[in-house]
Amino acid sequence: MPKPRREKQNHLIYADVVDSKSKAGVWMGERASFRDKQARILEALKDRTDWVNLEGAVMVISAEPAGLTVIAPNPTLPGVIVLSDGGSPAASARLQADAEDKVRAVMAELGSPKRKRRPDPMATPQLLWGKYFQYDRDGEAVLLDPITLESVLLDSGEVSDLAGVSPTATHLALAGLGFTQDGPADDRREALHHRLHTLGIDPTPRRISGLRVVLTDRCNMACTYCFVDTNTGKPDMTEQELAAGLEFLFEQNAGQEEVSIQWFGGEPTIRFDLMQYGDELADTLAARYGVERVRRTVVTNGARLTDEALDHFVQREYGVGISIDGPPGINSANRLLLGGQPADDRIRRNVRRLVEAKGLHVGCNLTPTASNIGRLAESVQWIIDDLGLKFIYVNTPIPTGGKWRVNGAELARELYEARLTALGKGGMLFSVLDRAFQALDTRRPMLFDHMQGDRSLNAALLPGDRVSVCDINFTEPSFLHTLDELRADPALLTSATKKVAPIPACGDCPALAICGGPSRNEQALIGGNTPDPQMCAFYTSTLAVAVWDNTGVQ
Amino acid sequence: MSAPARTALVSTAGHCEVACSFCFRADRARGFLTIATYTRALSRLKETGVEGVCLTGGEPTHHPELRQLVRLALQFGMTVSMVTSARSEAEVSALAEVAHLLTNVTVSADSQGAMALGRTTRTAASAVTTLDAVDTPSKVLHLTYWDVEGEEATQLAGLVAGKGINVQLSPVLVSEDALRRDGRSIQDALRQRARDTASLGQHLRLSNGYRSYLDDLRRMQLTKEEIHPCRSVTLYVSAKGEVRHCPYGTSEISVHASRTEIRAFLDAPATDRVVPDCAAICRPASRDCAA
Repeated sequence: MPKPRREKQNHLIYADVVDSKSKAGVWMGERASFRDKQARILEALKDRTDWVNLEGAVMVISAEPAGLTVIAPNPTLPGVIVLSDGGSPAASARLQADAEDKVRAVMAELGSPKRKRRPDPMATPQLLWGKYFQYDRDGEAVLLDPITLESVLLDSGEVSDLAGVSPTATHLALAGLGFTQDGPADDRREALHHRLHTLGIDPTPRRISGLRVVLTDRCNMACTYCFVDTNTGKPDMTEQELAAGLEFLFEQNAGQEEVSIQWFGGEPTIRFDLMQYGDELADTLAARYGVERVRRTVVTNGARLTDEALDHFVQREYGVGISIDGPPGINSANRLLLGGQPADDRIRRNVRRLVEAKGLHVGCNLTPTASNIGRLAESVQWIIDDLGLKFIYVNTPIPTGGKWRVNGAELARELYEARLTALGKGGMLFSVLDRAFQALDTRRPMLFDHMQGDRSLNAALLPGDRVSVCDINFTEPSFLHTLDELRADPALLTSATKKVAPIPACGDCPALAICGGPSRNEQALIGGNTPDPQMCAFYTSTLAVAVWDNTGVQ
Repeated sequence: MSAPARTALVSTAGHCEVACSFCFRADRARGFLTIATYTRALSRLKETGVEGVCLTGGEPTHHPELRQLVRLALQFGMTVSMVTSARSEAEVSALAEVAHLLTNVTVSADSQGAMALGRTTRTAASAVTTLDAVDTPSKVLHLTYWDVEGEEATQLAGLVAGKGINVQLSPVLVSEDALRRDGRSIQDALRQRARDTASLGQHLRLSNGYRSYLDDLRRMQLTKEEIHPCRSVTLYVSAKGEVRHCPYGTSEISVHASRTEIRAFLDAPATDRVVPDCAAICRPASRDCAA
């Protein structure tokens, strides 16, 4: 029988350390995929070790120091188990470290796009009956309805049955699951709009429930790709502006369960005094407006952390997001102190203090850049093993200088491998991949980048009494409004409203209900409606990864 | 396609102090087999189905890490045997130290005539003394012979009688140039070999396999036809870590090559041809020490 993807509505939504609530969700299964990966790891290890086969494992035999190391796939999780015996504790430890290094090197290599990759046939599905997308792999196939997001796995027998004269048993079984040959939708974009309407999904934001508060544009680092113009000499936010912004946030959310405040910059801790002031004020305002909970997060580069700030974060149960791109060689490619020197040692010390502090939720924001693409898995491994950070949020690429600077298809594959690396190490990695998994599992389109399911928006509070309705763009005029303007005309929020599937080509795309076309910000940054081809490749590839991965069980 | 080899000869050193002047070994060079090369060889060979190794010359008892060589092969789940010329106290004690871990020990000796020809001192009697000093389930005296008289054959039979020592024979193959320098022909050498074999045959039971090997050898020497492709069932690993189908082969692959390349080399039909020098390795019923 064709196997429909298991439905799942209770994704864990947490650990969104620093960003919008819609971005989290973790699935721990993915067994078929990680088994395949484990097999590849073992096979690659065989090339660089002296080994004999054990049942389902290998035993590496070493002469210096003399000893044995058993390397076996972890049966229940991604990753491999390494167990060494060298006769003495010291020799065992050396063997263990050597073997682990080898495993890491292999894993990093397997995650690397530097090896020649063939074009991935999985990523280019064929249209079936004018309305479904068929993904083929090794004789098996997955059928996806791009509108309802129903998906079905067919084994190789069913795939050939499907090519037979209808109705075969497979045709009938598929019809039972809602996959029928008749009446292809005339226009899939229209069908999606209809579907959104039926599900009550509306792209128009209702209110602002979270503020990214840009305290200052001063920063002690000068990262090349930062989307914020830093150290321009513009004045910092004043206490009055901050107070007015917070007042607005709480008044808009009177009686709501939660608002979120994210301290942002520049480097926000440079104005720790404003953070203290704002946190005090937020408590008062929450009580006054009956808001149950204030989620507080800070995005910092970690190069600067006073004891006072650390105590404050602990006391207010902060989520701390540290922006870091990978091990020192990678991180310092784009992330340097103002003086041009790397900050890795400082960052490492401060991360340790944060991780060791009780009650903090510490994570990492990783930006895919030219220097870590191809090494994401390695970077993730380092972040977990060396820095001790278990929660990694990978920023979604945005166009810089008018276009995407990364290869979308490769990034999608890398994110998947990095995710498995993270899971194998007891960490979690959040990225746009989760959006595809979640959409397929819940059968709900996932189209909005900066808006929660309750249609509340994350906006940015900027110095000079302005709000940007897009929290990652502080300069686009159509996004900028004063607090008074927003109070007077709530419809101004619609300047952030995404036009779902804005171009005809979106109708032909399997990722129609997962991407939904370029956001307003994307359009502003590329200067037009037509999405960047790499963006399209990224979303179609994340979908291709997700359709084959239907084992989420968390 | 060659049949997959189940055994391999492993050269523990490129050099050999015995230095028989009739030695035809193709790859003489100074230097011991390193442990890293050896373990890599064991791993790669084991993967292709090799189940036993035979440590061979140079002289294995001179290898500074002989015990390690034996131990590692056992860890890889392979049987280990050894071909040695051990005679001195140091050599025999090095051998005795590992002998209980070996499946078989073959001690090489030369007949009187062969000793004179090759300027060696490896007598059969001293070989038996060495074999007496070791404790292995199987013992072989390997005799390279030339110009064997009846009396020497009688003595040889007496030396091994009742000791559980098997005898393995190889005729000296004198090169045509050497024969010519001596004013003799191939036919002369073949007649000598026939006489030697007859003498030995009076006291030792020569197997049919050995007799047919001698027939093959004779035919090869007379016709000079390289008729048979290499059919060695025993691979060879040089001290520098090159794998060949046989010690005399010319095509080779490093054990440090990728596993894919090694497999491709071993799966491909051997390009080497059987010549008189290497025919002993291929002889069907030979009791090769690793067999």
